[in-house]
This record gives sequence, structure tokens and C-alpha cells, in this order.
Amino acid sequence: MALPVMDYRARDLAGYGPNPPKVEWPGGARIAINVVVNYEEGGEPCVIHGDPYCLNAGRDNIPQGPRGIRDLNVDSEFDYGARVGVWRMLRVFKTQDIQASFLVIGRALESNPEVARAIGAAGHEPMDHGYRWAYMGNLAAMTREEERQFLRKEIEVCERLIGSRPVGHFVGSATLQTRELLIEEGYLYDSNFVASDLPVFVNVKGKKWLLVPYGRTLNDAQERFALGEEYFRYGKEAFDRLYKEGATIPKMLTVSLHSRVCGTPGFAAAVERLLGYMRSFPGVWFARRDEIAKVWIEQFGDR
Amino acid sequence: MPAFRDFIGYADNPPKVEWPGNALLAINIAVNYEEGAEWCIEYGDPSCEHRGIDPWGAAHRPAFESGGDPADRQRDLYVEDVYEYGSSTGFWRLLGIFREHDVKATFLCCGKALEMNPEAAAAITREGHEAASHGYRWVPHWTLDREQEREQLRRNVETIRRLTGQQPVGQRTPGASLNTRQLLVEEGGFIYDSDTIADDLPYFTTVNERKWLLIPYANATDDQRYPYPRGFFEVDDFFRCLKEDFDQLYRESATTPKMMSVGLHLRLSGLPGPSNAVERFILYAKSFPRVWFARRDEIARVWLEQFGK
Repeated sequence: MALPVMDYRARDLAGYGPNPPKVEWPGGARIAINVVVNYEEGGEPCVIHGDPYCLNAGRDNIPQGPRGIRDLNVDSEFDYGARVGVWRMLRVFKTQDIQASFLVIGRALESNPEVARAIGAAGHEPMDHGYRWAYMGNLAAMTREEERQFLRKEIEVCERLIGSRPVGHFVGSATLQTRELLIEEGYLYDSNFVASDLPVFVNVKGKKWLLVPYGRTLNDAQERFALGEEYFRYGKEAFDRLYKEGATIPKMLTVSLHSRVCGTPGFAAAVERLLGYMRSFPGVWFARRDEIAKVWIEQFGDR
Repeated sequence: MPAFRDFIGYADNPPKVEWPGNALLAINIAVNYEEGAEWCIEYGDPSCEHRGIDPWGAAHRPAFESGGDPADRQRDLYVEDVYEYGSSTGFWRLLGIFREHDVKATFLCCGKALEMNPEAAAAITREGHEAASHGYRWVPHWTLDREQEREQLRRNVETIRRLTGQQPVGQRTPGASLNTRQLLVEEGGFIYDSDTIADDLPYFTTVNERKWLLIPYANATDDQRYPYPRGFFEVDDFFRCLKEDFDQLYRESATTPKMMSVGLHLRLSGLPGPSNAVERFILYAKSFPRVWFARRDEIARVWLEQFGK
């Protein structure tokens, strides 16, 4: 089946419209669910890493802008994600028998190699989240060669510490140049895309390139989720709708998490409850993002 | 305070502590006693405090960062009242709840605040609570130089001793600086600090080449989240927040005994409605066997005894 393929420089406001394609997920599943964990702790801006401030981007500290000091409370909330949170989530995935995608920052893996080994040993997918967070918001300032080296550094760290290279990419500030470089550096897809419920191809200089959408709303970093329970309820709403739609047109759902948030005790319990709820339905396929990408490419990629 | 950060911690192998009475979960309630120690024009400070004044829509304008704003250079009687409510009314309400349910808590005390209300200081000790240190004035300690901070610390220890009769052995610092931990060791008398939210269990770090104990605090289960955008909207939200963390920690503690930290403020949880969330949580937690409500110094002594060698 031929799908519409727009040029990657254009904006596509029409998309699949009323006629989304019917993918056949493995086992005839109605819905593919990707759990994606952002593992960033140690990659974020911090004064001791030479950055001008410590990033306040968790859930529990006083909301305030950057201050040019070593902010121990702010650092400490991130540290929790690496020391405690990520391990709690790894146990949840083991109990629920789920293989997830881990959006890893290379610098974070280097500061906690045992976590990297555990991600690899459990069969989770490493995804490229940038070698340092400090540059994520500023990829546009990189030259082509600088950004290429940034990608290669991340690939090298994943291969060395997790045991395999990333084939998917999401940083939140990608440019058209990023997309061109991902093709040149051997990636399979990227997730710098939230404009659809389903994967989409774009045409990058004559080559079909796959976008696997990231989860914008069912994301524990959203300010609306003060409690794990609220995340559970919103996740149930999203799942119920997509599962219903999936009876005629199979769908995809992203469960997006961050170690320092979802790894706190009550939040982790709520995520586990949500995954258990989804699992209780027939025709639910928990999939890594690269598995979703491969199915899509096989069925719609003209290869 | 170390220049490094420990991202590894206990990883997948946390130690198994034996709490007294074979308890599974140690719960510490830490009450921040700050009212009267905040910036105030009346004391000669350059501006008045605006932090965390009111659960229902606080202005987040830390005094130390907005001191140059002329609008802040006059007394704000409303803000002062909000704090005064905490010490004059909220304190006694919470104390009554602790007494009724036989909970021993840790009061994180600012000396200046105790001086403004000596009867409360005496009651903390009379009712068996721990008086720990929270800075003589409620100011971010990273704004002080090393000697100013040492002076704050000495003055706070002296004030707490004089008014509560207790030697403080622990501190949670308002805005800890890179000098804080070394000063606690150098000044002596302390056995732990709580300037970390990085773990579910106590852990050791190294200060001046000796083992130093950290009893973690938790900002997630602190009533300061009432005024935050990502915080508690209803009173019951705070209860549900405490309950969901308790449920998971209690479940995990069946194999590895755990600790839970609950943070309160007199001007927040001392209000009539919010105080219900505190009482409801105490009753809920006490409905489970092998739950130990403990002071921070008790937790510290157990940890030192079992792992301090």
C-alpha cells in the first residue's frame, strides 16, 4: 500500500486525515504500546559539569528559573532518578514482562554504567537522546560536523556501555539537518514528531524516512500530573479510546516516563497498575520503538 | 559538601536494616518551624518574605531574589499574619494531632522563630519531639559566606539548646551551601544532615575524610507542594500523595525495610482543612502492622549502630 510521502521540509497539516492506513501488528494486535523511559540523570545542565546553572526540571522542587549556583536540592532530585527511580522501573518492567525503549543521554550512562548494563541485559532498546542535555535545546547552533560528532559520541557510548547502538532518535529540538544526518549515520527512524497517532514517512532528499511519533500527553513530565494516580487515570482514558479505535484501524500509544518522576514510589505503582490494566485486554502488543518501526517499514516501505 | 555527585547509590542492592520492634517501614514526620525567622522589614531586613505564604495561590517571589523591588521594601501585614498564624495556631493544632495519635516527630527549628515563641520551643521537648536545626534565620545558606554560615549555625545551636533544652544532632538547611556539611562536622555535636532527597534510605557520604550520615528528606511528600503549579489542589490530594508513596514503600519493605519522609509546615498543614490530611495519613499508616513513626535522630542512631562501623 502506498502512503502519502511529503517532503521533509514541508509542513503536513493534512496527514492521514479520515483514512489512516491499516497496519497489521504482530499477532493481529489492535494496539501497539511503546513504553519509553527518558534516562537523563547526570546529562542535565549542572554547575559541576561546567554549565552555568543546575537545571530544575523535576516534579518536587520549588518551581523557579535557573540560578547560577550549585543547587543541591535540584541536583538531588535528579540523583534520585539514577540511584533509586530507574531501578524501581526496571523491576516493574521485569514483573510486567515488558521490553521498553530507553531514551538515554550518553553522559548519564557514563556516570552510572551499571544501569546501562541492566538496560542491555533486560533487552530494552537504547534510543539516542543526545550525548549531553546541555546541547539539546541548541542543536541549531551546531555546525553539520559538530552535530555529526555529537551523534557519533552517543552511538559510541551506547555500544560500549549498553552493548548495541541506537537506531532511533529523539531530542526535542531536532532540525532538518538532524534528520539528514540521522540517515547518513545509519539510523532507522526518529521520534522528533508528535503530529500523529501513527508512524509517518517523509521524503528526505529522495529517501523515505520514518517518523515514529513520540508521546506528548501521556508523559509523566506533564505539569498536570501531581500524583501517580492522575497519570493512571489519564493513561486509562487514552488507552480506552485508542483500543476502541484499534478494532477497525490498529493504533499505537506511547507511555512516556522519566526516571526521577515515575521512579518515585507512588508514581511507579501507578505506572505498574496502568501497564497491568492495558495487559488485561486481548490484542495488546507491548513493543519497542524499533520493532514498531520495522513492522511499518516492512508493510509500507516499498522495500 | 562534595563537588561530586553520586549517581550510583545502592543501585539494585539496598541494605537491609533492622528497625526497632521488627518494623518494616520507618516514617518520619519533619515539621519545618520557620515562622518568625523569615525576612521581615520589622527586623531590618531589606524586604519581606513572599515564599510559600499561602496554600491557595502563593506568590513565588523569594525575598532574597526580589530585594531590589521597592514594592517589597515596606511591611506587608498580610504576609506577616500568614506566618504568625502558623506559629500561634497551626503549631498547636499539629502538636495536638501528634499527641492524640502518639507520634513523635522531628521539628526542624529556626532559632529566631523559637525566640519569637518560647512556649512552643518548650512544648516540643515536653511532648517528646526532636528539635533539629534549620538555620537561625530562614535564609538560603548559599547566600552566606563560610564565616557567616558558621555564625548562623553556632547561634542556632545555642538558641535551640537554651529554649528546648536539646542539643540538636541533625540539620536540614534552607538552601544548603557547599560549606554546610563541613561546618556541621567541624562544629561538632551533629550526627546527620538531611540535605538530600536522593534516596529512599539513609546513606553515608564522606566529609573531611570521615563517614557522614545523610537521612533523606523528600520534597515529593512535603506539603510545600500545595502552592506549586504541580502540586495539591484539594486537601485530599496531599493525603493521596502520602498514601500512594506509603503503599509502594510498605509493599517493598516486606523484603527490604524502608523509610518514608513526610514534610510539613505550620502555616500550611496547620490550617484546619489541611491538618485533616495529616491526621488521616497517620491513621491510615497506623492501620498497618510493623510501621514505626520515628524521629530522625532515632533513625540515625539505628543506622549508625548497624552500618556505622
